[in-house]
Amino acid sequence: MVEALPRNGSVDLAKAFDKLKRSIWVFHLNTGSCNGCDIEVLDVLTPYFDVERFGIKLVGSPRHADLILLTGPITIKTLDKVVRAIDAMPRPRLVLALGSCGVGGGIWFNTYSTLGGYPKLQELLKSLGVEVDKVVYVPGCPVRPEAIIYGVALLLGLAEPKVRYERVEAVEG
Amino acid sequence: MIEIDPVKCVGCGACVRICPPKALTIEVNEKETILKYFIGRCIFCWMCVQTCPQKAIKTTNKFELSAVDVHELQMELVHNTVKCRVCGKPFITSKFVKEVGRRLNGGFKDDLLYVCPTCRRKLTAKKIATKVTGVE
Amino acid sequence: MVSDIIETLASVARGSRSKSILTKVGEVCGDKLLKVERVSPSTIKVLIKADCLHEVAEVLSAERDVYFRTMAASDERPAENLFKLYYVFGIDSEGTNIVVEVPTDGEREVPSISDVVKACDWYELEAHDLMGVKFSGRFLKRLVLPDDWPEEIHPLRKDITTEEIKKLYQPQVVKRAVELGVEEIVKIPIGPYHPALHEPEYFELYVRGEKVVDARYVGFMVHRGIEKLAESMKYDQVPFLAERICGICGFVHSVSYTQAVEEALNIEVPEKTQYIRTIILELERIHSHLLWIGVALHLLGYDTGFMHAWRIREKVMVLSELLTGSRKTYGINLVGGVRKDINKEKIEKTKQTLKQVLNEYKEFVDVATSVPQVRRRLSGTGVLPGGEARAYSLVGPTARGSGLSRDVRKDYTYGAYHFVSFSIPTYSEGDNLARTLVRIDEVYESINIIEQLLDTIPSSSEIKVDSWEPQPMKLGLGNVEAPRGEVIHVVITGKYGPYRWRVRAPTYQNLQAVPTMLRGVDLADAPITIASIDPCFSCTDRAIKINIKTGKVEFIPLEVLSRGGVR
Repeated sequence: MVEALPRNGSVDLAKAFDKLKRSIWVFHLNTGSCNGCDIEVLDVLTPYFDVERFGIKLVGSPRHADLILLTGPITIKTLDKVVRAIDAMPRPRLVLALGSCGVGGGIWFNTYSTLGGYPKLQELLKSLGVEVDKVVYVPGCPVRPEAIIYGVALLLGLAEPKVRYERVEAVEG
Repeated sequence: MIEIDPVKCVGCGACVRICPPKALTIEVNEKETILKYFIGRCIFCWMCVQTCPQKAIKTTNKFELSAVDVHELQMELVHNTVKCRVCGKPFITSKFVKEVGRRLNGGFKDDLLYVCPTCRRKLTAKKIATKVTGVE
Repeated sequence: MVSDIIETLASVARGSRSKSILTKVGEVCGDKLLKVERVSPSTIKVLIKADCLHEVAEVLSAERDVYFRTMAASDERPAENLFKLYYVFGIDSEGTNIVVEVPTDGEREVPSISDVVKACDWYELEAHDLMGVKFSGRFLKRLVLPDDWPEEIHPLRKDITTEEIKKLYQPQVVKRAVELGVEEIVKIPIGPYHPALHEPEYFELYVRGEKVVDARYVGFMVHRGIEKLAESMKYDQVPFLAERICGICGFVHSVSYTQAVEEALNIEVPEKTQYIRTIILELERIHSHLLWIGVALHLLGYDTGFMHAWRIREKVMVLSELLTGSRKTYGINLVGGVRKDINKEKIEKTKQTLKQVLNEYKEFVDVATSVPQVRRRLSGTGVLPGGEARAYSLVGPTARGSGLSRDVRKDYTYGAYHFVSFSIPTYSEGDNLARTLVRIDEVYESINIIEQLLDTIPSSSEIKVDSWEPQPMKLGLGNVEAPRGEVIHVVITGKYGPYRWRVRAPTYQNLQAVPTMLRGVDLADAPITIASIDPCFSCTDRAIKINIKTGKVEFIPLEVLSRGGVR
């Protein structure tokens, strides 16, 4: 386990990240998703994919967690619970925004009762003074178990990102 | 994820209209028309692939799409914008105009091809009126 | 006049049951019955004045084979300057739907029928929340929307757009939590967690000692505004939205939606489409039940069973990917057809996999159900008598565990179910064990159904209709037996997409009966009792325990509860 940082983060974050490389504990935070990603998260933990062999363990409280697996578009009714859960995590706070809902609000990014994805939540968290140290976005609808494992690997610096922003000029035919 | 062929795509916007989560969007401005694909909202239903009249969209089996920054998940395809010859408003891409011209096989004259739908309606109405009344 | 209408009633009736029931309706209404119409082979629409709604509800609920199925409120002010309520009652023995249409101007109160039709309680609250319809003779409270939502905004009304709502209501974070007094109550942050299914929903359990005295459900945390969103979408985009209502049983929603549109617009789909839809529906049932069995065993503390159930389930997931291209949210449904064909090669592969699944499943289930601890925890807990199940119009395995042999596949048949023979497992004990056994038996039935369908699937490659024309303002109903029970969608068609689309998931019906099941059980059995209805939004995570004597509120994860670790 990593030594908890003080709330203002005066201890060297890089050092804490180094220690995180071994086994990370995850807390699953459903913010109003359809359950698709949630059962894929479970799939990752059960015999076929079995990530517990890498030391990834699901824990019961955000206070014990290094990483939050955030699924869903963040509905208004869950909003303050989500903020409190993230606030309760010890530093460094890591977040894996799962699925197209978590990344960009998914198919309901623009309805009256959702916030519309993690990027919008992060702005809100910033304005409330809750720092999140690293985020990795994992698209997919629902996100494939393999993609979740890859996302964790990317978060820990074990893999390189495979997609980049692209701007292509159309070729006149 | 999907891949959009920059050679085949004409920027007609059919995929944008059918996309259920609006992961594909089109932005028209003075200079260029940008077809944007945001992987972060894509639900991988391949409706765009089925719809594309130019067969420009291809499916891939890439699923390891994680990124540290959400902007890394944005793809953009830039087209030239054509302005309406009458009102001067930007309306479609140059490739689209050419494609329409090709498909119609010369059935549409240039003076109508490069005119936006609103102005075209006005023009046609004027023409008919001229024909019927004989007055300009 | 009245005799004319009663005559029409008799002529539109489908069989002797609907004839006698409709005649009774005609008699209590008299001249308040305005119009009777048969909108599709299995649906009869009755237009009545609001004053006699209560009498009609009394007549219908007194019949033994009539169940309340759903209610949709629709804002039809642009066309007729009226709100309309569509109450759907089903005659199970005949497979006929009676849609009671009640117009209201939005100002006058509609009589509440939740005193005679218990199941209607939430529907009225929801119509009040989202549409602003007022009901008389009952207590109205917030159900779906957040507590600080402005009184005058009703999101499903046509005269307000999503953009306008967003301008008028901005969610507030910490301030709201403080205002509500949550800060003082919550000592541990409430977070939904569970290595099983879960969404942010709570049950408040009122306990005295070890016994649960009463329970209250606090929820609708996952309200995402789907119905409003669908009104801005096109016909062929909505199936993808429908699938995302639930990630576990999404396909039932897309099938239900497409069936409703097809019924409203009279679209004849090819036989092969029906076969493919039915095969995928049954596949989904197998994966969903395996998932549930795993989770139930986990809640009982039998984790080995949990792991084995999920191991077997993984094969079904790979099979779904083979047939549809996706592990979940298959995305193969469109109005009038499906997008992916099943060829010979796939049929062979499916048969092989199913054989393997069947063998492994049988071995696993035989062991799991003979573990004495599992049996003892399940039997005799969470009892729901058949009478209560009928009063709440319960659906699916929950109803079948209480001795009601209700199954949409047989009662209101759809898809390719009339080509196959299968039985409906029913147990009459009404306890958690009965509900578990129903689901265990259903997996065998599903495998059997798929095998029969694969043997007789047509070889043609026609899997969708070429084109169809939308017509506005037609009413259609679509129903599917989901793994959790009956799903029913009401669609009123529009020009380019649905004008109004009402979704009713099985949990909506079943959840209302959970407090009845919970009364009198030991606290340790509460989690499995809540899970035994297989809640679709999978809320079963944390419960609030309120000690009646001291009034102190504690938050306990249900998992801890289930191990009996609470004093």
